[in-house]
Amino acid sequence: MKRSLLLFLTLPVLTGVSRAADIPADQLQFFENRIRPALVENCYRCHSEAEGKSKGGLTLDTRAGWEKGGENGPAIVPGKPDESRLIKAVRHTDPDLAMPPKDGKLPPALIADLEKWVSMGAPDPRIQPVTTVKTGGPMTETMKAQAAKHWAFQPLRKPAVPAVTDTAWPANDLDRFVLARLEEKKLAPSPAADKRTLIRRAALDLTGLPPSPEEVLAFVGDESPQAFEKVVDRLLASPEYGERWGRHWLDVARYADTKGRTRQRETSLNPNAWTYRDYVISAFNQDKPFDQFIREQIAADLLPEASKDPASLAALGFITQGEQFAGSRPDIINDQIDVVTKGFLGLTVSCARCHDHKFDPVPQADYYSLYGVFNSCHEPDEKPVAVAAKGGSGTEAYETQRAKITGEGRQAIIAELNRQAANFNLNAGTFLKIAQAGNKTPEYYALARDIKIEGRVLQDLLQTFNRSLIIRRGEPPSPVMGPLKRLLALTPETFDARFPEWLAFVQRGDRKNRVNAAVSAAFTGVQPTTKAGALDIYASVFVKAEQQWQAESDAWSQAGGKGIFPGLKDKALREARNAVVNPDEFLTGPVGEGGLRGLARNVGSRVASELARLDVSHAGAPGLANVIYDNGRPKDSPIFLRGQIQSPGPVVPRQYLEFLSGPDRKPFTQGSGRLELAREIASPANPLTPRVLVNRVWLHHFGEGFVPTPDDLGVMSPAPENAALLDWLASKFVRDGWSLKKLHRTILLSKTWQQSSEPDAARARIDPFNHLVWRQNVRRLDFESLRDSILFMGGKLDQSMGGHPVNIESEPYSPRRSVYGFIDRIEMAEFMRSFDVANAELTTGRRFTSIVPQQALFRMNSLLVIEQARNIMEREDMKACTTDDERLKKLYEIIYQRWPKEREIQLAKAYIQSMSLESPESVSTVTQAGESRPPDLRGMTKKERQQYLVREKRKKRLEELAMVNKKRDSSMVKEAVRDPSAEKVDRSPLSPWEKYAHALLMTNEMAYVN
Amino acid sequence: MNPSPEFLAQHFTRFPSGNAAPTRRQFLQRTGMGLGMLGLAGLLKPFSAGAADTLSGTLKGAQPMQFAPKAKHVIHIFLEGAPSHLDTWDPKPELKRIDGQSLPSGGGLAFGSPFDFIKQGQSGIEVSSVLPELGKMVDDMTVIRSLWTDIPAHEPATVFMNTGSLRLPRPSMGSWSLYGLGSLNENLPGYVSLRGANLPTGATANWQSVFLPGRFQGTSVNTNAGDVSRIIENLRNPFVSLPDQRRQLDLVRQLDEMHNKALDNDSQLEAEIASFEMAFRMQTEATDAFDVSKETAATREAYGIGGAGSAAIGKARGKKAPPNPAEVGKRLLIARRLVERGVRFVQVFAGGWDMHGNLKDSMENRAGGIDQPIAALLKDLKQRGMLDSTLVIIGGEFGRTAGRDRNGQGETAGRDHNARGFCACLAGGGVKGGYVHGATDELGQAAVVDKVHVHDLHATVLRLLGFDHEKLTYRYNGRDFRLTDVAGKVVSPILA
Repeated sequence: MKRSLLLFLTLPVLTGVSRAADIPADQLQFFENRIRPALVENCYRCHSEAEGKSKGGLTLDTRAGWEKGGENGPAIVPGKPDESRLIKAVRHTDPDLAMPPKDGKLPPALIADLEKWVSMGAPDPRIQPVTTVKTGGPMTETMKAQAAKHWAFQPLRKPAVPAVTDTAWPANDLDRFVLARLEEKKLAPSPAADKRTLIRRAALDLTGLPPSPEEVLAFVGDESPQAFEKVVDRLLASPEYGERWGRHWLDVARYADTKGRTRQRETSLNPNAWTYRDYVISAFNQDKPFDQFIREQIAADLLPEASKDPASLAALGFITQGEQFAGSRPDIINDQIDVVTKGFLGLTVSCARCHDHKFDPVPQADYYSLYGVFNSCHEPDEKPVAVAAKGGSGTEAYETQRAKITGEGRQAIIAELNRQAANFNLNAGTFLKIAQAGNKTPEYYALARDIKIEGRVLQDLLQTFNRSLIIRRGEPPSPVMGPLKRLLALTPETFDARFPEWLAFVQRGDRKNRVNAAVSAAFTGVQPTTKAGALDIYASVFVKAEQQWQAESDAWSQAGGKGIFPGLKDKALREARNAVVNPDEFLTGPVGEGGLRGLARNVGSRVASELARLDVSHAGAPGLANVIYDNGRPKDSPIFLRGQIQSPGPVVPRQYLEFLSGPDRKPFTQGSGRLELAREIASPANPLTPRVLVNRVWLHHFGEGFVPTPDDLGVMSPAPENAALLDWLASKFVRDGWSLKKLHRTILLSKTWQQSSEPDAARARIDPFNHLVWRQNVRRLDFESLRDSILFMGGKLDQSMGGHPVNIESEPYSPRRSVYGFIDRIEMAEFMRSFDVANAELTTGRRFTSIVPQQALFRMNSLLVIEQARNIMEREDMKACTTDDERLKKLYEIIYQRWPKEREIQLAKAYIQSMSLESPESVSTVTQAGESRPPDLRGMTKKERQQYLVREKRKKRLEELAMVNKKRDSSMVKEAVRDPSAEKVDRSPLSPWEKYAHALLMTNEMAYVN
Repeated sequence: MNPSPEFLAQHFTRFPSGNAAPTRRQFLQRTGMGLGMLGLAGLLKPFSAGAADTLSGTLKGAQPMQFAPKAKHVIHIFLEGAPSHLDTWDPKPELKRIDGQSLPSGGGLAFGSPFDFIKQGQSGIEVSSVLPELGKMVDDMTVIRSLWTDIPAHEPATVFMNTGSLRLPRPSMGSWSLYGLGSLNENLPGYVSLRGANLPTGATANWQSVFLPGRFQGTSVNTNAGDVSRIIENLRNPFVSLPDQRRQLDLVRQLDEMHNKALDNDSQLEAEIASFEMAFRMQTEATDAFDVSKETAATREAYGIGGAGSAAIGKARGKKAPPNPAEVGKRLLIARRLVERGVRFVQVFAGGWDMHGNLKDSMENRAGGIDQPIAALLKDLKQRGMLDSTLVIIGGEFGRTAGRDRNGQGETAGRDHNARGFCACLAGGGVKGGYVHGATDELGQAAVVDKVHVHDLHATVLRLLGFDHEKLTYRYNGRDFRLTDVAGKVVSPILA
């Protein structure tokens, strides 16, 4: 009774509910800035609808909550603080109504805010309760409930095969699961596709290439019941299978041949990325058990098998090949967590980086448990060989080339450092004065202006100078800089008193501090009276050493010295000369990476880029594994509050996700924990891993998965179609030893997969989206299949496997399969982008299938496609045709794997006839649009020719010498990865038949699988 | 938990490669081809600016709008490298007064602007003397003097300004805009990004669609490539004439229609047919849109293109021609031609603003390269009645310090990076003219009054296009993403 009365009383207020839009901006701001945080922090714990907490019946996380109030009525009377129970409670004046209870009284300022707010009329935009985001804790009750409820998180059991009425149709149990659902809706499956459709579908599905005319004929002619099974087994055993299905996995693994945004001056090229690509292709071809495939990709280095198979180390590219985020570790690790959890578990764990996952049972603590694992690993500088160099002359040439670049690079770095050493030594007087003046004082600027060195270089030199004055613990002080440091420490006040002591020291040194002989000599027999005077003398040592160096160096080169000047003979002078800038450090050891630091970093960076370009492109180069190793001392990570490393919270152990671990979760104990993590993910008891994989495979065989979001099977993903079949296949997959090829067989040998793709209005009315799979879907060829098929039809596809990536985006076009095309993560070729090639920045379990005119332009106008039209007409089997009818038949066999219908023959003949009647003028030879042709040297005078060549040479040289510029680097890379076997295309006019063949390459039938 | 209908709709409108037949409308939207299905004949009609308005009735936008749209197009002129606000749009007499002294708050020696500020227009807004022509346009602009951003480093800040995300790949502002608005001209990409031969810092991250479907990605174009036909790949067939190709495509269409009939006119296959027709038309239309030689000599000259244009600018400024106004001018003129043809979002990159040293000369040069061309664009848009429906944004990724950078002094002084305060100018498209919003402190070191964060600017741009930035979302991997992440507040005072 009382309650209903209350409700009645509050009704008028409810009608006046204020939404954010109706509240004046200043009031809203006051609420958001002062009141909401106060309520969240102090009240929601016990009074929150979202959290299911309503002590005394009161909730305070919506306006309606306080309007309704608790057992004793509304909590707030808008405009009247003194009458509001909430205000009374926070004032702690009534001990029976004191909130927060006990000692929890709020600070006076906060109470005043609340009073002010109520006086305003308690403007409150909160209509819906919002779950507040908590951090740091284990799973909440809500999460536990989700974990217990969501289908994909439940243990995988083998469901019973359903009974069906039509017992004749099913070829296997898969079909029974599908048929049972169809029968429920009184639907019959579609009839089987005809044989030529079937073999084309199977070939494109499994290998990304159409069958050859001979293969089609053989299959059509084979009337044995095992005919199709033989085709499937042949395709699964072909190496092209790994190239096609490996590519699907590379999408998930965000594979690219560049690293993306690297640190400044660091090349973006990832010259060994391809070893991972080849590892993946080979794993698919070998039918490597998928659990092993998982373990290798996370922890190959820690598996006992690794020693036997160094190629498996390349698997770790899965972890390391992601975007580099300009070297930001937290972002790199986030990417690693993302690819591992999305890729294998279909979970978006990276959403829990800043707060608990909003939908899935992944507390923020779990994210940092995994963060600790990957943060306890590093990528070593020296990488193991995964693919041995081929040996022979190619490798020799490579080694020679590498030594040449290294040698030249070393020389260039040393030359640059010699310049810098001279810059310092000859200006030592001013530098010492600057050190005396202090950083960024007016004198500092005045002095710096006197040094005629470019500002940036000067800045670097000053830094190097400052660093050379630092005495490192455990290292003896520099015999040159140590005494200088002591001298600089003298103040004008202490100079007179302490200078003699210093003078004595500088002449002899002491037990622990050797003093450079040239320095000692300079101070022998002199008696400076001021500090400035002493600094001048000190500076003269550097000047003298440098002058000596230059004199000896000149003499050495005049005497025919080549390469690098070995340095001063006088040891003391040599030490003084190199005290601040020491080129000798680079006389030995690797140059590329080392050169990235310090004064010669521009040169070092150029050398490193050149080496990387050589490594990625030279056939004689070995393939290194982009490994990740455990750190010597693994460390747990703190939770970073709001994802910010400046705000570390509690430290969490390295361990597996809580909701997948069960009650006895134990922290990882072996090294970083990577192997333990890998074993958890690849465990047959893992409910997600097999489901995620089966869903991915189904998606590629039908164009649609059981779940449409292959990288997310979490709470927010749509419920699966035919969950029982997914579970049945997933459990069978585990029982079959995680064999993908067995899974493919089960699917392809089912009647379900073999159905025709013919539309049917009656069935479509009942199931328009084909969720029940009453037919096969018509699917579009992806970029790789389309390009490879066109090349294959032209008879020019180079089917050699593996190795360094090749440029497929510009002329001369490589005829190799697209999977070997060079992929630049940042600057992916436009035409690949327009064909929806997976974005290598993110895990892409499913590509978009957009239809944009650039794709049509590619098929209409690209030289690559047109060239294949010519090539088709040049095939031996085409040339063997003697009549137009034969030609047409052959063309249809090659392109569509069928023969032309009557109407198609008519169209073809009419077209060819009309083209043949064309006046020759309408067919013109044109150079490639926009192509800049080299000028005809023969038409030039001798002088012009010389000028031209000199200009070209200088241009080239300038390009080589240009400071490192990543953008330029990227175009040079694309130049470097040109396929040496690629040829320029023919540019002569097209014959009518070639135009006709080209037209067929533009048709839908060619680009779609029925 | 069951997925929401919107979630399902979005996933199924991602064009599953199967024939999960979408509705006809979904299909039209998804393929970005609007008219494609209305008949091939319609496609062959020439597209005119007038048609854009009738089209906008039927293509009101792919996503529901919450507000009446003010702008239908955006031209974002991105001054890459972070131009100094203190030498362009934000006068600081106090800084000038203490020039050479230590800044009270630290940060080295004060660097008063070497340029005078001049009251311009009716509004009397003070603009630096390096921008004399653009200054005259202030009555058509809102100058935001209180922008701030998160990180004073070029790459993250540039990507942040263009995508609202510092490091993680996210769809760009142009992608979101096109996703929201839908395309007006199916013969051209709806979002075009114009640049020189080099990619800007952050590269393609600045115009990517990331998880939004690929058609919302900016088509990046190197306008310095010279030859119009290089601008879009494969735009011409080198071996067949257009009439020849027409006959070839007629054959393709006949074959496709037979194939399609067997598959009951599958909508995806229809889209393919339409895309070939569009591609065919793009061959001439795209060439035309990017070809500034179709403009009159006077127009080109106004934009600073060509020897005469550059010389004219040089003459007006009393010195030899500043570097390449022609490059930026060409981009701006192409931008206008694209907008005229219905392109929704054009990004124009104009770099060279990272002035750590020698600011006086560099600023004169750089500003000289954009001053007249941008002024010309605004005048041109206004004259053609396009400025009201086109929002022009001018600005960089962050501002500069009030102190001298490094050791530079006198004529060689420059300024370091500063994320705490900088300017952007907005013109047309529903923003106030002759209005200054917000302010930095008296030395210009940080925004203090009516601060506008980059997310707020993004929210405001979407607001002008008709969208509540919190409602223009896209579900990806279980989460609704938006341009403004979890922040952003519309800067209402600048709305006209």
